[in-house]
Amino acid sequence: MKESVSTNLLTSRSALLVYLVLVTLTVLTWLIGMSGVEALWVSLLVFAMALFKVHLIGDYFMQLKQVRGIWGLVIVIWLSITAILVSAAYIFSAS
Amino acid sequence: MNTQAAINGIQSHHKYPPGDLAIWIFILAELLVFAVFFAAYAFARMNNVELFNQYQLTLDRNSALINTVALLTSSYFVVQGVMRIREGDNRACAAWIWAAVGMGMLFIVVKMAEFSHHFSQGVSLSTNSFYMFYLSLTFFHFMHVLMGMIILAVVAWKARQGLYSRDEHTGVETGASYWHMVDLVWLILFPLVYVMR
Repeated sequence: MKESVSTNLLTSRSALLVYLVLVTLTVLTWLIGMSGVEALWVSLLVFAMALFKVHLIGDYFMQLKQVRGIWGLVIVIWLSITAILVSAAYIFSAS
Repeated sequence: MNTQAAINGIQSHHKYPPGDLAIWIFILAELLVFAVFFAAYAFARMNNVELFNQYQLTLDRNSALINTVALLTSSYFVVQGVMRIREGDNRACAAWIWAAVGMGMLFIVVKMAEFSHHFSQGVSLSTNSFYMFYLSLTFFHFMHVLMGMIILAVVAWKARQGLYSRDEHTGVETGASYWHMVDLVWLILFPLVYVMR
């Protein structure tokens, strides 16, 4: 029988806090998009915010923060690969 | 031991993530496919920067904002549903999960309006490479949202029937994990396709 995360270590308060941070960063991303600012650093900033949001979802909503070993790093590994590939493509296209 | 740790507020670590391990293998496979899609979009853009930037402006960022907030809100509702079932409250769990399905429905309606607008303009997969990626990526994700809503609806129905308990609620955690995956993929898709230039 597998030992899994079955306890309620994520509180309603921390879940709400994470949700509010996620929505705030989303609105910020939208505002940057609507501002019409075009620069590589702006795109990379927007992308970094997205990566941070995914990290929050993984750590808190999916509760991977409480998981040790490789399963706890699933999202981090996926994010790292995605971040390297997408950032490289945007940096190369700007140079 | 785990319950005591929770009561005491002590951080306890586990070997496996919440839910059935099989769903996590499925989630891994899905994430890999989306990573390939995202990389393909970014590298295809390298050779067509002007075209991608030009047609990106035809997308509706307001709809994308509404959809992102809808998915984030649905994920928050799912977290609440999981918390309630861990307290043994089936009815509250069902209510939160149904609310999450409602947010999923909002996403579907807004996305269908977006698709409808583009199709009425004569846009198709063969219009250009930007629209090929835009339509493929968003439709692929759209199908995952539909699948997630079906899973959540089954979980909510079972919770309402009292088929889960404080001690046995793997089904709720499994459905929740899949839904969060659908959400986090959109969190990358939104800036990549709608905002980054």
